[in-house]
Amino acid sequence: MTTHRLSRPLQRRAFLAGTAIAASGLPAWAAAQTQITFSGWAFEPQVTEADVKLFMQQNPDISVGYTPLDMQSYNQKMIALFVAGSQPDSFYVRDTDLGAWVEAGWVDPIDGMSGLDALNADMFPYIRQAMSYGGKQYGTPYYGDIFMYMFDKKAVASANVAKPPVTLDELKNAALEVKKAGTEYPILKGYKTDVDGLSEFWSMVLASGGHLFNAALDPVYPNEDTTALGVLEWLVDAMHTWKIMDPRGLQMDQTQARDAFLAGQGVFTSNVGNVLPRANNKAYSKRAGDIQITRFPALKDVGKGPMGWARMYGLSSKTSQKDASWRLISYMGGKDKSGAYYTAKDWYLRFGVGYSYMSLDHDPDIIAAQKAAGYDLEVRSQQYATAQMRENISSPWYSQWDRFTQEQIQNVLLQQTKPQAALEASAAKARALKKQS
Amino acid sequence: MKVSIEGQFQRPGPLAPEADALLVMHRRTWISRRTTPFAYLLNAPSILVIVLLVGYPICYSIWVSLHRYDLRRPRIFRLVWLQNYFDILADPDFWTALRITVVFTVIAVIIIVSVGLAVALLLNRRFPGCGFVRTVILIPWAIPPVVNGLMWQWIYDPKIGALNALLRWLGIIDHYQGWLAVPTYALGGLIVAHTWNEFALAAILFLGALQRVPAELYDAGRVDGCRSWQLFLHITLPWLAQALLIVLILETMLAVRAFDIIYVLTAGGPGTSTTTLTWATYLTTFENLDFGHGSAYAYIVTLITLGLSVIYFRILYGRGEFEA
Amino acid sequence: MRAARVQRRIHTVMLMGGGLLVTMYVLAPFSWLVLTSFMHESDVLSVPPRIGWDSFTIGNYLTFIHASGVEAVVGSRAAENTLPGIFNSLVAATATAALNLILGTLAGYSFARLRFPGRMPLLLMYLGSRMVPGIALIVPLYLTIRTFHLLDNLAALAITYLTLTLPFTIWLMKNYFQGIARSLEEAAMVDGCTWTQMLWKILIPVAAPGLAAAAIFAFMTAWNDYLFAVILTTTMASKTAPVVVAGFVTDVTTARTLMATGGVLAVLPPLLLALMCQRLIVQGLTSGGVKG
Repeated sequence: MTTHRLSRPLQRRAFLAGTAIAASGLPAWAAAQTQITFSGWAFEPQVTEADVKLFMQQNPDISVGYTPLDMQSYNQKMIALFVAGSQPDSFYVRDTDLGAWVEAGWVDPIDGMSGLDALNADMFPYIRQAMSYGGKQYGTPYYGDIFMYMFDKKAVASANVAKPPVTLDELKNAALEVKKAGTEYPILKGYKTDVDGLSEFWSMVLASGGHLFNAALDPVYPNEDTTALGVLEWLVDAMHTWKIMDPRGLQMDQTQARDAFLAGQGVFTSNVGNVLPRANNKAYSKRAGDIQITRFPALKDVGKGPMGWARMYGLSSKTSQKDASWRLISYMGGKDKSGAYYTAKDWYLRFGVGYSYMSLDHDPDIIAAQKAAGYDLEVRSQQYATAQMRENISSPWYSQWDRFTQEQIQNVLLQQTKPQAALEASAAKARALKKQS
Repeated sequence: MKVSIEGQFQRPGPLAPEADALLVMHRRTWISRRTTPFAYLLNAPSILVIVLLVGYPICYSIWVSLHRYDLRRPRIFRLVWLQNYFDILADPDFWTALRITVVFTVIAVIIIVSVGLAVALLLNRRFPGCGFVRTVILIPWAIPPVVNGLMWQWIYDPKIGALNALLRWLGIIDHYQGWLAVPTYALGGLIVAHTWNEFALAAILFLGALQRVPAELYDAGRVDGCRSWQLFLHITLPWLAQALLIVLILETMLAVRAFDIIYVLTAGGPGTSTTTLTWATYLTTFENLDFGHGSAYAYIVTLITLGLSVIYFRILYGRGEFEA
Repeated sequence: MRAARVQRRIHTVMLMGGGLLVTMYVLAPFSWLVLTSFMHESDVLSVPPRIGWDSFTIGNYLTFIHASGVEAVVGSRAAENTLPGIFNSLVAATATAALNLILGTLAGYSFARLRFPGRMPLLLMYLGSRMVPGIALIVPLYLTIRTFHLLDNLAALAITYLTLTLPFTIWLMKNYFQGIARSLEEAAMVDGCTWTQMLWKILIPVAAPGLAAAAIFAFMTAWNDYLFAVILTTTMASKTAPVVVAGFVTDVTTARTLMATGGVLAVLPPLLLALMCQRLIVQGLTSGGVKG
């Protein structure tokens, strides 16, 4: 793959034709084509459109009708489509929804499809796990990413902190130094309920070598495994005892916290992996060039990674064009005709959207981009290689439990309840949800 | 001849003499158009549209609310009658959400009605610039709630927000505050944003009603030596009764259903401090995919709105006098 | 005499003060959106925000109308779709308002002037149909619209919004008609008008302010809807402004200044419309129309 120049967006007229790409200037053999439909939430849909167009050039026997759906209400829209039975042949799926969607009978497993094993062999383990449910695989990766811990290396250096913190204790001491040097709240973190609101908590627990759930999806926190309790107590102390973490974070979601961090607020933060290239990009960031990553801080440094997640392309259980749809998603989430990970590389180079294949770590274009973004490459590959998936992600009640637990943590940070009680409530919720399902 | 024709709920039966006379007129003058068929003819398009479009959705969602229907367990679709409703009423989270909904709704409606009324009374007078103000008040109404939520998010922003900048400039605060990070402020922040977005509707409806108050009434009142508050109490308010009824019902409905603003500003938090019944309905239906309980939640919201509307109706319907 | 004039002047000043207060209440939050739309991204993110002539730009607006500008920014598809979205919104909202006026006038008249069995139940049925939250109706409504083959069609939006607004329009019109003297109608009858002529020539002109208020109410409700539009529309054949704007205000990669610009653009059309109708809403009734 040589170029990432985006082919010009399709004419709107063609787009207006609805399932439109198929209609734009097709030659005579169009009649013999297999028609398939494809939808996803509209994150930079012109890129997806271009990708789909390339697929149709490489696979002239298939015509793809691609419809981007509103990102904010993607689930609502898809649920309406599923209930009405008018879902597309393939579509984006969030790992947090996978269990529920599989249980609802909307997504088909892809095990045994041609070429899947080769893709799986090169995939980061956490991504493959995140796309699996009940021992079956349900998608090819749209992207996968991990939660990353970032800091302003200039501010840290000027506070005379010698090395980046990798344990929570070191983080506390470093933050106290930075606070002494004049930053009121060195740690800036968003705690408003959102899709990534629990990610830091998960990452700290997993990086500490702790667990929230056992293999049977029963909660092991807060008593059997006390890691979660330790992490949550540290967070409360950070906010209220040591006053190194900004209490105003309770009203910020990840995006707001990111924008504030990029505008120069705070010194330490955690966010999704693709924030780092943005943070070191002058067009978006006031502190471009100053941001570095560290291993996700944990109660103790056991060499484990943070939380990782995946978004995938899934196949509809109602599709009548399973083979053609599989060819599409094995291209979108895998390789093109020339054997390159075209879309994954394209997304990464354009938007820093995490790729899912280990061999791309050695791609010269990607390494150049990572150097330009200012990554500590050693830390980066260590974190991706050791990233873990959320232990109960493959339950149909994941997102319900996730949101409940975020509320509990907010209550703890508001000092309306104690860490122990909040985690007990969260564990009780998990048990109740498990019993229902 | 001044007759209050709206005094009672009208039942089929002997017609009032005035209406009877009119009926005769209808028969005589406008071909033999019978009142009842004519009335239903006039209503036919409206009935048709509403029944065709929302008839099925309403019946469907009531039916679903009586079933165990969780999309995550699609094979179970079982009639459970009112069990979903009992489940919800037994859930302490429901009562928390109900309390938050009531607080939000009551305060928001009071603010909207008072601000709307005050603005309408002001704009009913002539003064230099009143045309400009009449247009300006439409701005908040023209802002879609999604955009409104975003605008207020930036205003309340703890780091770069306009409110913090303003208050510090005025010397009211020393440090930037996280306005939505504190439960009570968060609910207050939602109320401010919601009422700002909605007050224009109340103002316009009140203004429309005020415009119809016949000037002669005020003249007569003044001749009788009424003071201005007496004029307001005895002439203006009765004329506003019907508009007030509409405003109350509409604004109660809109406040109970406030959704976009919560979605953008607080997502129901921090904790569950801004989780209203509507937000809970949304989460149950579209996040948890539990359509049975979600629909039951929705009909509890419906019953509450309906109950309040009936109370308003009892108090206000038929108040104010019309030329019959 | 002079005392009275002074008093009147004080009165006017007080009214103007009230007007100023209302204007500030409305404009203070809104001006922040407008200001943001004219700023550079980096100035918005400063603490405190940098406001001044040196940071003023109309570049954000050019992005929406200038094709090359559109392609240069992230979130470009949404920016490109904003103006077509506004056009769709205008069509849907105008159609909603027009349909409301027709249906609302007819039904409203029947409640204002005619006694018929089922009158109260019917009025309550209209209102009751509006009491169910949209969240519960959205999925079955999707099924209904699909049955009519109207998915992704502006007509579907217009009739959906019609059902949302009609109950209140009918009620508003009922109240307006009840405020109009019956003698007007009787006079028309005596003059030999048909009912339709009477409605068209006598009642509607007199009720114009009420009609305008109802139309604006219907228009704004349609204009502001997000929930129904997002489910019932799919492509730019019918996506409305709130859907497009929400699409990129919630896009994590879009700049704040662009979001603000999209927001301001989405407010302009109804505002212009309101400007045009303003006189109609507030104009007093012709003196013969109402008797106390």
